[in-house]
Amino acid sequence: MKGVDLEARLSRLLALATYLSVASLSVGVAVAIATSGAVSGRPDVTPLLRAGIVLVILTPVARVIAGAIGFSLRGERELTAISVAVLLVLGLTVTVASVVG
Amino acid sequence: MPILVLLAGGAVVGAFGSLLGLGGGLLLVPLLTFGFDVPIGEAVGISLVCVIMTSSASAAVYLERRVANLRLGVTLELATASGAMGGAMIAFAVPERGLAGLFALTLVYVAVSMVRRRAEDRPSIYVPDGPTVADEPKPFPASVLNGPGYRARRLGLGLVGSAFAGVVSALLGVGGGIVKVPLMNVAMGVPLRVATGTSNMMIGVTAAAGAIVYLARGGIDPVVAAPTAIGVFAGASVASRVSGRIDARILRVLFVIVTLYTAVLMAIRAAGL
Repeated sequence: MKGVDLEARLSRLLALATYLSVASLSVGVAVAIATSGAVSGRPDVTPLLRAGIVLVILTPVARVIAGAIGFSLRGERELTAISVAVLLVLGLTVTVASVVG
Repeated sequence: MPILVLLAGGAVVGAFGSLLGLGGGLLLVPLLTFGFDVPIGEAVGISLVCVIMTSSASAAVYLERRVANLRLGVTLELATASGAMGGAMIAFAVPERGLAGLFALTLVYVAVSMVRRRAEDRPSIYVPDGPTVADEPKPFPASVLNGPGYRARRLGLGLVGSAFAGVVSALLGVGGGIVKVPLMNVAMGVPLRVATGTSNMMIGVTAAAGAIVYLARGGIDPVVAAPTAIGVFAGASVASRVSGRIDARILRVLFVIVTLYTAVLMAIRAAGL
């Protein structure tokens, strides 16, 4: 796996995840704009927008996960361990925010 | 709130953020605060979402072009994520005027340090004095954190500074690039363009750690955040594709102007004027 072009793969992952989150947010915003003049029956786009925002936040997390896998496959143990540690910090953040928030 | 105006504002901020190696929060928080009367605390949460969008969009390009140092960035991310978690936790205890004051002070410090450093006397690809990289013994981390033509020095200082950048990011809704770019360039000897690309890549994880806390605490309004983030994405996408054609000295001058401008606005807010 030494020959794997990790940077290129992470680049594609980031681009794909970004486009997905932009698409999700764009649909919600487009619906909000299209229905902004309606007096009644306006759809609630907040859940869709919230899902898009969660997707945005998860994009760099996905890059770290993919990086950890990539470093592991390439036998780069130190960087695998560092990537896993970053994920642990993010996991701890979710846990603490859920408890405190 | 006018969605189209938020889209346009986000586009301008996204372009500047990408060109300057910042997440865009440096301009976005003032835009939302002064332009849309969003409280700074809420603007910070929204800004962090947009900052992630900027980072993800431009980091894809920087990684593809090998401008970002992936391994150095991943190593420093451990410190920035830890700092951001702590910063987000204390952000809710800091009053609005206090946040504005911190914003202003941080910006002034960064601008002054950039001006004192002056335009780089250093070549764009920095090769340190002494033995060449090839002559050096290669224990971790030196063997993997260096790049073509430069050595990443003072990793310990880089980690401490990155943790501070994480705190700043979560407190102020910026990506932390205002700290990380000078840190990597000046203290660690990483060429400015590589520092910019690596910072862009790191900003996503840094801001994500802070954004998780704001989202859990209800500090991110999706109706404001969504159009702003889309605008930021569009601006950053365009800017990252032309950044290679822009002189590093121009980037630095832009950086100083933007930071000083924002510092004045925030100082006024902190003083209650």
